[in-house]
Order: sequence, then structure tokens, then C-alpha cells
Amino acid sequence: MAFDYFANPARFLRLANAVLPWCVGATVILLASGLYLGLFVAPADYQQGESVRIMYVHVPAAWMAMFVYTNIAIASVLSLIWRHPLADLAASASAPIGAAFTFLALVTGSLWGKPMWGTWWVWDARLTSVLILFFLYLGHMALTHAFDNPARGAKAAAVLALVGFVNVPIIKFSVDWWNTLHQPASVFRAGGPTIHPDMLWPLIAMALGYTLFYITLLLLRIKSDLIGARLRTLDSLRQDAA
Amino acid sequence: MTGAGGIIARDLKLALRQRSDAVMIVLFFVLTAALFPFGVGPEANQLAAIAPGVIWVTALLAVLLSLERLFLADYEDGSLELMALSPVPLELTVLAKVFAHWLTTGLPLIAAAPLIAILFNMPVSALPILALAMLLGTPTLSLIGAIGAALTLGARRGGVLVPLLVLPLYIPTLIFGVSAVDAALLGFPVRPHLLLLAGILLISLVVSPLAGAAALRQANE
Amino acid sequence: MDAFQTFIDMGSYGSYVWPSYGLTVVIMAWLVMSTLRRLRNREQELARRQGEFPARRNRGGATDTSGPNTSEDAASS
Repeated sequence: MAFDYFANPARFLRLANAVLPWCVGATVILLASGLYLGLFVAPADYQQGESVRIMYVHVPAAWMAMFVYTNIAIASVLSLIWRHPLADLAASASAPIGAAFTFLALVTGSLWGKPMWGTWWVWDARLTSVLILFFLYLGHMALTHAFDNPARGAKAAAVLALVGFVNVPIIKFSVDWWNTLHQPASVFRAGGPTIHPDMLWPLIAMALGYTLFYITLLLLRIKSDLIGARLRTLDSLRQDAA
Repeated sequence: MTGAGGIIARDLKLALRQRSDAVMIVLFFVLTAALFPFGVGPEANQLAAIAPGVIWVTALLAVLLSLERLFLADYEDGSLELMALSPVPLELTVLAKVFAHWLTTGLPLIAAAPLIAILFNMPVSALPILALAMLLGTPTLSLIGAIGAALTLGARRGGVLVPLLVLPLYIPTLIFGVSAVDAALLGFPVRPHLLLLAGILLISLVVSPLAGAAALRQANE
Repeated sequence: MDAFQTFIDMGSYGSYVWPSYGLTVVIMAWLVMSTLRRLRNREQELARRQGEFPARRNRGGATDTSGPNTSEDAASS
């Protein structure tokens, strides 16, 4: 299988080093063009005016919040069932990035909500489920670092990530249900069914830019974790020698 | 099966010997709920309106308080390793321990809930639904809690970690538990809420033994 | 100057739009910097340790069997 190929960290590092410059370049180009299109080319919304431009940083962040959590769940399966050596590193390196994007989605959502809803926070179904997702990330990160033995932390976090992943749709459903019970009228829906192409392109560019940004950071973090593991091996060698 | 029965019997015997634990949890439940009138004021209608939410949230916190003792004693004295080695599947052991935990926390909480409902001026007609919803909901709290308790065995700051792991996963149970009682109070159909609570219970019945046993195996390594 | 003013104003939503973009930039920059700082620290640490024990490094082939995963890290990073 393809992921077996990268079970050898040296091989992974060679590939990562070869891919990284391209990832950095693509990230910069995509984010720059996304910002340009979003701030200068895209029209203002006829209802929301210029505030719609928050969408270009907010919506991709919310997508990333889900995407990164899905990746952590996949990595957790690889770690628990196939014991892939890089899977734990990928999961623990992804979690802070995912948490940061979730935090961004929450705060920019709040900044968008203030002029639209008139308050910083409403217990809207989407905002609420993203908030819960943020808590899931924090729990995952705390559990990863709660043990003296990093391997134990990684395995425990993998179990938690899978339990959380099973729960995400349940949480989403229950929050939707709870929200319709308490707030019958939906105040505002982002975008709407048809979106103007001039608004779609910046959104796509930003979403791809965020994704490549994540991949770049993920590769760098796995790389530094591998060096960390190497340092620990050297430590134990020195202790053996002494 | 006798193995699982043995574990339940053993855990229950231990729990009954330490009856004070269950009593403390019920006391915590009642006392915490009794704080709310001081927080929001003694106005009867307002208290009745928040009663279902207060009962569920405090029950949830009370369960959280009791989670640490679920596996910790067995982990520290090494019986957990014996359980892992025994012919009884570890998944079944987890279920047995969760059942014993529920009998000593969930059940007392259900018994104490009407007291709070009356203190909060909640109509007596909704009490059966409250009891039924808690009967379907509190086992889920024990099941999910067991995962958190098993995952944090041997962790630094395990006690503070459990709420962070478990509370987000409790939210669906909280939502449907409260909405069932609310529906009963407002005269809406109660069935869908209870069915959803039962559905979550069934999913937890599958997920919790698997995840809990995996976590216990990791803790033993 | 006028066009610039209206751009900053964002149809009176400037005080919501710019903090959103600003925070996004700050958080992403912080992610990049913390990642790079950690990577650089560890690379330097590794270089320093290997400088300390040149002899061990040469005999590394035999001892490294205990940690086969990391045998080639240094060479490729």
C-alpha cells in the first residue's frame, strides 16, 4: 500500500524536502491571489455589503476545521490498526493547526455576525457545533501531552479522535435539532444557493491556499518531530554509554 | 458471562461498602442545583423554566465527579492487568464496570432528581418523563465517561483532563434529555426525544466498550 | 486618496472586515513561526550533539539498530 512506502522516516524526509519548496510556492501564490480577488475583484453583496468579504477568510477556516479533524481521524485509524509510525506524528502535528483554524472560524464568524445579527455571538447551529469542535481539538491536544511517555499520549489521543469523529455527526445533528427548537427563524444564511462566480473564485483560491498552508506546516512539523525522536534516541544512547 | 457477572458483583460489593461515595454524589447533585435559585433569583416561574436544564447539567457534573474512581483503584493495585489477561474479553469487563458505576451513580441521581424538580417548582406531571429520560440518558453518561476515565489512566493531571475530554461528548445527551422534559412540560410529543436518547445510548453501548478496552490495553502496556 | 479611504472603510464595515483579515494573518504567521522555531532549535540541537560525539557517530551503524527509524534523518535534513 502507498502509505507503507513512507513507513521509513528517512524516505519520508527525502520526499518532504523535495515537495516542500513547491508547497510553499503554491501556498504563497494561492493566498496572494485569493486575497487580491477577495479584496479587490469580488463585488460587494447586495444584502450584506462589503462585510461579505469576511467570508473569504471565514468559510475556508471553517472548512479546514472539519478537514483537519477528518485527517486526524484517518491518521488515528492508521496508527491504531496498522501501527503506521508516521500516523501518530501526523495526528499530533495536525491538532494545533486544526485548533488554530477552528479558533479563526469562530472569531471571524463572530466578527461577521456582529454587523449581520447585531450581536457578537448567537447560539446558531453552525457556530455552536464549531465551538464544540474547538473543545474536541483542545481535549485531543491536552491528552496527547498528558503522559510522560509520548507514545502512550499519541495512542490515547488516537482513541479519543476516533470517538470524537463518531460523535461529530451526532453533535451536529443534535445542535441543529436544539437550534430549530429554540430559534425557529433562521436569521441569516451565508452565501445562499447561488453564488456569483466573482465570489466563488476567491473562495476557492483561499480554500486551496489554506489547504496547502496546512500541508506545508504538517510536513515541517513531522520533520521536526522526527528530529526530536532522533534526539531522544541519542539521549538514550548517551545514557547507555555513561 | 459468569466472569462479567463476577466483576459486577465485586464492584457492587465494593461500592456498597463505600456507600458514602454514592451519598456524596447525590449530595453534590442536590447542593449544586440548590445554588441556582441564589444565582437567578427565587421567582417561581423562572425556576420552573430552567428546572430541566439545571437538573441535567448538575447530573452531568455529578457523574463527571464520580468518573475518576471507575478504573483508578484497579489500575493502581494491578487488578486491571489481571482483568486484561483473564479469558473474559476486556470489552465485557468495561461494560460490567460501567454497569456497576451506573448502579451507584446514575440510579441514585434518578432517585434524587424529583426532589430538585419539586424545589424548582416543576409541574409534577413531567416527573415520569424526567425519570424516563434520565433512565435512558444517564447510562450514556457512564458509558462515555468510562472512555475518558480509561484514556486518562496514568496521565498527569488526569482529574482535570477528564472533563475536557468528556463534556463535549455529553452535549447530545444533554440536549435531548432537556428537550424531552421541555416537550412534556409544553404538551408536545415526547417520543422522538426519548427515541433519540435511546439511539445515542445504543451507539454508546457499541463504541464505549471498544474504545474503553483499547484505552485500558494501552494503559497496561 | 479617496479610493484608498473607501477601501479602508469597507462600506462602514471596515471595523469588522480588517480585524478578521488581521487576526487570520496573525494566527497563520504565529503558526509558521512556532513551527520554524521548533524545527530550527531541533536541527541545531542535533548538529551540536553530533559534533560532541564524532566517534560515536562513526560507529553509529552498529548502535543504530536499536532505533532504525531515525538512522538517516540527519543526512537528509
